Amino acid sequence: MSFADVNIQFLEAAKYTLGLFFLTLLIAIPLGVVICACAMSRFRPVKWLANTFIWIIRGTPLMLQVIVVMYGPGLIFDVPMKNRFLAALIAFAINYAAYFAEIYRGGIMAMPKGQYEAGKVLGMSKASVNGLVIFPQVVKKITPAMGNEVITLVKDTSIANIIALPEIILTAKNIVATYAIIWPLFYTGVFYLLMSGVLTLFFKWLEKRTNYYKA
Amino acid sequence: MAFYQVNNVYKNFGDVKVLKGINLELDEGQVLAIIGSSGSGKTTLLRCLNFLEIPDKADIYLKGENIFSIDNTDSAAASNADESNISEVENGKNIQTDSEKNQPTHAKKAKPEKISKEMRKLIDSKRGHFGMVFQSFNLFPHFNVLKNVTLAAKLKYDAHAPKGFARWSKEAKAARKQAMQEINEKAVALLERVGLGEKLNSYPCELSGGQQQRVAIARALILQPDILCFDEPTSALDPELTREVLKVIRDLKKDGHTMIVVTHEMQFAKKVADKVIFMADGIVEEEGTPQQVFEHPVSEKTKAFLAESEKSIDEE
Repeated sequence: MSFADVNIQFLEAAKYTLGLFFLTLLIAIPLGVVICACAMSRFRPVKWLANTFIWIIRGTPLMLQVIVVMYGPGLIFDVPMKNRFLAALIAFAINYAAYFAEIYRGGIMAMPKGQYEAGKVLGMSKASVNGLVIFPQVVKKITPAMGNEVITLVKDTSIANIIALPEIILTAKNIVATYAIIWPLFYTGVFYLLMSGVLTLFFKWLEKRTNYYKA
Repeated sequence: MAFYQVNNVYKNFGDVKVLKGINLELDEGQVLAIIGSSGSGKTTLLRCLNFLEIPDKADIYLKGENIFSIDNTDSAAASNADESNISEVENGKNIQTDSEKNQPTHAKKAKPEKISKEMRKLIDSKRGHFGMVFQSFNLFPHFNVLKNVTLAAKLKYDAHAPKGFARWSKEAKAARKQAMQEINEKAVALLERVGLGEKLNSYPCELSGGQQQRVAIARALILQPDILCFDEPTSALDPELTREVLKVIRDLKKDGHTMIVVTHEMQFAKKVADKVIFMADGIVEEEGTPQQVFEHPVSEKTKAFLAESEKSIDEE
């Protein structure tokens, strides 16, 4: 197993890693908005339900959630989950949506009440206040926390190896087991560093772009 | 009847009675200064007049028209149970909704306000009569000065613009463009009026407190309110910046604006106000012209307050 072969195999595996990463974000970012809206709802039962949901998702290991989504349907309803990638995606999207929801909520709670009041006395509708005044400021406020979470997601994709999704870590483990060489396992770190490096730069850029004002 | 008349304003936060029957009257172009120690209810009164708090009871008249009436006090609820003479503006009572997330912290333990949709609608339709300038400016930090001033006016235009396809017709688009242009010009003129013609493209964080407050004044003025309210507009400013803001307010008086100013600046109240109200414990303890209130106060509380405010530290 040459260095080049390992790289080729890892690049193959990166399709799963990156696929899981981007699709999770694609689903979790809007889903987090929904959960956040429920958690901040004035209707008590909805609020209670959302908070319980967040408690369960944040209170159990992601690895366990992946296993539950993968094997739960087969064991409980006798409809086995066929697609490992789909199972991982569902678990990841739900997990990250719960975390995102809490980040959004924190950002919204951090808005001074004067901003709402200013909008109100200026006769702005609730939608205008939320959309034009609150939302852009919340985006800026939560960017650092979101960056943190998104970088964690890159590394968390390795958890999907528990249900044998052939992402980078599982590929490395297979190479180690098959060819009796250990270095590819360590070498995975380079791939994760590259991916998180790109993300770090992206979020730096994003923070800079919203830096034209200070709140 | 006076230009603006407010009768019997009552407001409780939970068990705390903050306003216990306030009456006030104001003629067009007059400036009313509300003074009093912290906790006397002056800010709450101003917030009630701007509908940021809904009073438990109040009757508000503007230009002779009853624009807002409410009576949510217990006695009213009891007497209304068997009478059905609820006037149009009062039919908001006794219907549940809403505990706002942006309620003031001191109101948190209070019962959620009982505001019906009709009441909310009514209030929103009356907001335009009043402008509000806050102690903490509350500019929108992510918009530049010009946009801070124009935003509400532009949204107001769009809210009244034709709906649906008509909105996208050539005429409507041209009219909109014209209106937006006019709003921009008006905003620039107002900003020049408050001495900030140079700062159109600055962001609030780049301005001094006094400049921010003057932007906030221009922002309130663009909607042409009948009455402009100031809630301790200079309390967050140092003496120099205070002076520049008070000068703007004085100039606005010359332009004929009707204003209500909650303030701790006694000199300002003396010189600029036509009327002064001294509030204590949720009631109007003393009212009259500045001469009457400052030179010849009748109430002991007023005398004590004025003496206290003139005392310097080393007299303690």
